[in-house]
Amino acid sequence: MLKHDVVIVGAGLAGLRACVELRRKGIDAIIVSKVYPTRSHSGAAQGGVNAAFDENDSWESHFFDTVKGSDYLGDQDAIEILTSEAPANIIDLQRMGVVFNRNDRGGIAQRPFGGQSFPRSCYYADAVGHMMLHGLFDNVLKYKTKILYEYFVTSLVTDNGKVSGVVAYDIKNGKFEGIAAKAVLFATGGYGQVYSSNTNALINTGDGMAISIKAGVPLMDMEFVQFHPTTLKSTGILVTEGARGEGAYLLNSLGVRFMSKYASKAMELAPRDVVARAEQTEINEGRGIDGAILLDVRHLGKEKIMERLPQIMQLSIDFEGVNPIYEPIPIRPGAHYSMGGIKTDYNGRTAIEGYYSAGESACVSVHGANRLGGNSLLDTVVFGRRAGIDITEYLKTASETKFDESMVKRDEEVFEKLKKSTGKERHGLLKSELQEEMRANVGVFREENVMKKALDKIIELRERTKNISIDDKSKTFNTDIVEAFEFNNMLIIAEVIARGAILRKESRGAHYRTDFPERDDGNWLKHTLATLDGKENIKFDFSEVVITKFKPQPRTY
Amino acid sequence: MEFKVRACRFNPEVDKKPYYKEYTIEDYPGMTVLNALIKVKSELDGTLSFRRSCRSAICGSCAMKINGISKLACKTQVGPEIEKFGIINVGPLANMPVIRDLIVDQESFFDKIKEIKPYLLGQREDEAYNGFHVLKEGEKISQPVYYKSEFQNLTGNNDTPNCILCECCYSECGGVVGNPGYLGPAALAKLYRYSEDPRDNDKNGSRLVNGSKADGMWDCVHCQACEEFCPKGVSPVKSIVKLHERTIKNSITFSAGSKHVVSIAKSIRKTGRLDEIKVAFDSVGISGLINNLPMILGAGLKGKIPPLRLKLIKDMEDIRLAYKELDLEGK
Amino acid sequence: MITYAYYPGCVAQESGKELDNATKFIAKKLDINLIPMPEASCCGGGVIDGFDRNLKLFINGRTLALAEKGGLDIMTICNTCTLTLSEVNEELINNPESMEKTNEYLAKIGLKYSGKVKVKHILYAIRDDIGFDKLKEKVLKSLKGINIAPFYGCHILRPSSVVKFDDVENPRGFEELIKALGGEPVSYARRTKCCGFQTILVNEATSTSLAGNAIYEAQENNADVMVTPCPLCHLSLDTYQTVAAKNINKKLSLPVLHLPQLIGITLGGDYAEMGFSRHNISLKSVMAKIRQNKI
Repeated sequence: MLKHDVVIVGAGLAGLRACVELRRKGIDAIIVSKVYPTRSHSGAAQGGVNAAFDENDSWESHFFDTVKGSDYLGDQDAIEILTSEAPANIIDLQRMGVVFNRNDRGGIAQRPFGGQSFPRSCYYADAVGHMMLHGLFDNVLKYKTKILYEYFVTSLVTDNGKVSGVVAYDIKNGKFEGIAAKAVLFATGGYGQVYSSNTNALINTGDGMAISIKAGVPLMDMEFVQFHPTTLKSTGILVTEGARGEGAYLLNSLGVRFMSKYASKAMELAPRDVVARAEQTEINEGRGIDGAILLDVRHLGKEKIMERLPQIMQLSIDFEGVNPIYEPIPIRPGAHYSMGGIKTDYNGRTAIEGYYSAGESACVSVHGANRLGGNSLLDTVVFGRRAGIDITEYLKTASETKFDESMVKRDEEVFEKLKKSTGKERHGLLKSELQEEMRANVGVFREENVMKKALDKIIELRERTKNISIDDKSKTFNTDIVEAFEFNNMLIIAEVIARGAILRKESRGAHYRTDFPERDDGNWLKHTLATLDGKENIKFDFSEVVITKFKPQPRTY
Repeated sequence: MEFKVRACRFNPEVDKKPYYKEYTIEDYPGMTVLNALIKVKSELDGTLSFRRSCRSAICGSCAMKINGISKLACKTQVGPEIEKFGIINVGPLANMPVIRDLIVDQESFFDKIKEIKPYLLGQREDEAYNGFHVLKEGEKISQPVYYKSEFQNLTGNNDTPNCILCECCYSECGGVVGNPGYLGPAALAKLYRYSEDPRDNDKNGSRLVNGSKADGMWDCVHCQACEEFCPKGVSPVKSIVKLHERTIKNSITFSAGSKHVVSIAKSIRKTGRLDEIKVAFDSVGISGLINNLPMILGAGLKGKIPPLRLKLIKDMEDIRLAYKELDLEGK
Repeated sequence: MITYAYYPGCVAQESGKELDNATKFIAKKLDINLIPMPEASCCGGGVIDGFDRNLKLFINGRTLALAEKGGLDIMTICNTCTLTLSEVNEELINNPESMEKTNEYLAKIGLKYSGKVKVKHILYAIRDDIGFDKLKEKVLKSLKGINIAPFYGCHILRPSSVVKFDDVENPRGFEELIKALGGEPVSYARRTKCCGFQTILVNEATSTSLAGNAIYEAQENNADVMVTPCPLCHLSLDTYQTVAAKNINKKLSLPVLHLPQLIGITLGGDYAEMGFSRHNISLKSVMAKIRQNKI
């Protein structure tokens, strides 16, 4: 068994940022990640990270934009922290070695983003996530941090309501390891793989959220799934909102900039929920092209495209066979981001003492019903840092806990049993069925009857999962068994999303009910909290939204 | 269209050595090699093991040998590969030990990244960490000033910060093939990236000194493979050459490699030509020549020796002027 | 008749004189008119930008300008010269700032460069400007039955953004040439890999292990002879072969030809004309084998 003061699970931006905070102070924090840190999906973030720097901008304006963007479901105390700490966090990143593009005055260059009333997205071409991920990782190396990579965490271990560590499966050699810790931070990212046509990495299977709910920690607002308006038609690969920030048009099959109909002021730079719905409406009403609409950057000119959007140019060429300098890019909405997640406060604390979460896996909630572009990277560093600080304080008084080693044995047995499966179903194919079901029936537009069918399908898939086969019996880098286990996690997450979406009988932000098309503040200005009862059934509670400065208003763009 | 995937298989628990296994699958337009491998794994054979994550050429997980060349599987289309090679041959990257199937042990690669100190050394004074300032109402933050020009070599499309550490270059690197201890292209590109950073405060030039030691920047064989096969358009070899230039301009010339380059430059200034004898002598010294005496004598006996005194090229003063124009005369 | 400005590079005029001689021999036979460039300087051996990147532009810009003045394309017989001149050519053509700076220097020595010159390595000059079919017609002594391992070397293949002669992933030019001469091209993985020459004086172990293993692999694939289009590769592969054998602890004994020598043999060149006595590894047995061929 290993023993450390802090175990950080997940090595994307939130995990690395928390790690730097802890390691700067010399705290014994280690990273456990199912992939090498630089493979984390934060690296795929393209467009920007928001902070009000300009003298004509203010963090208060950023605060309001974010509250409005969240459709008033975001907790305003947390959003105030997010936006007021934003500039200092960006400068801190820069101090650590992150490079941002510059403006002519020697400051950080900023571009417009959807739902923001001022150009305040800091960027590194269209690869700012990559830049931040590698920059933070380099700092983690600087502080000589122990990294257990290609370790797959299977359980959270608690002792009398306090965290005592995690159980992890060493993918390289098939051994289970107990890792005792006084504090555990889950920065395990999202679950985009639950949907087909998503922008997410294949590793984004919602493991951290699934483990949390199994450990008794509520998941909050899980029905709010962000569909990104611009993902490549064939693969779902992300095309940054920065493209529209730089001035790209959205066109339907008639060549019309249809956003004028849906958001006449903000046009293409309306928030993602609004744009995604507009696109889907155009497609559904027959003004799409082969199930897609077009993103046109041609008028920006070759030079600007090469300078500001080189990655999406290359991705369009490599994955869609389209060179955006000469042709518009066929795109469609794709599952992108989880507004919901492990319920935390603004210091990353959860319902279990010593157990923290930050980043996409957490729900603070700063994004409410709809996240604004450029706020997720900000979320990771602001709340990753805050979790690091709070853990530092927590460690000062944390009492010893007992690590229940039988948990290691238990997970080992689960895997061994799973490994012996010789059924007829193939989990890889079941996964595709789940993804397609979720896309089609718990997607951009939702309706009770349809979602109930999706729920039936999820339950059916859960049954069929009992009859899968695991081809790979090996202990060495057995990805077959890891994927099967990930699929179990995905099923839990899918069910929470579907049940939450059926429950919430209103339309708010990314959650749009065709049978309840209006926002209903009277009944639904509240968070949903999903937990498991003793029999593994999902049940829901509610909690109040924190409203400090901005009373809910109609939301138009 | 049906096509064959021929995958290198190796499981150390049961196999003495790697072998190939063929799978036949159906193609679709836009199918990538990664799509093909996932199809094989989920439909035909769950034991086929490979790394993958982002599927959009940014995470660097799925680098492997595809028809003999290190590529990202997610970015490589099946169609053109089949057209050229008739098959999708996949194997693990080279220059690293194989853990299983298409998965290599990357520890040595990442150790080398760590070795070059991949972070800013010291800080420029106005950037010193002076706490963290949370804004109050109506308050604004002032940010440190850096002009575009200061970051001009770090913000271009093909500049080294775009490296995704996928190891394609490392797998193709001639230097690593010849010397497994060599830092390799990605680590040296990273060394360049930090030495080029205006915020780096490497007062005593330790980066360049350390990078000039054995297994460092002078072990590059200039084979250009790192540039050729980088899936992100980064050119580590260009970074390495810039490190060479900077090292020599900073008079860090203790290494045989730098002596070699300086000697060539001198030889051209004097004769317009590369003086093979002089350059060999300057690079390895008398002891180096003595070590190779049998070879030198052997070549000598066959008449394969360069002239001891080189004839100057015609219009030699043109060349001298080039050195003069560039202020390189005394160097 | 095709005319080129002939840029043999330094090694072919010094220790590798046999290459220069063989080139002139085949040029005569193939009606190639080689105009000497007595003013041309060394290209910088592929490392001069490590000394000063502008120096590389100036001295090679001058060579290009000299050819342009004569209205000729340049033919090279060295991979590294080919890459260096091509790199500078690309840089000058694509970067107006570099072109301007270089032309300021060139103006002072009475030259000007406008980007018209093409740099061609002899292998691809023959393929593109003469044609392997034509070459085939001129063969007097076929290489039938001879297993020939082509060793491309790096700098006529990579980076393919600069040297655009062949398919970098699966080049065929060299094999086609060998076939045109009646020989059997040997297929082996290291045919496109590095010979290690650039570090031969810096890290001999690295360098000779690259050359040695390439030779070993070719030998294992039944090569009678190896051929290289580059005199620097030739130094690694032939001159250093004995050292390489010792370093990698393998028995190596594979004769290595310069590309023009291979062509020269088929066009009637004899042992002395091809300068085979200057080689480290003896050509006697392979030449005996070739002599048995009727044509």
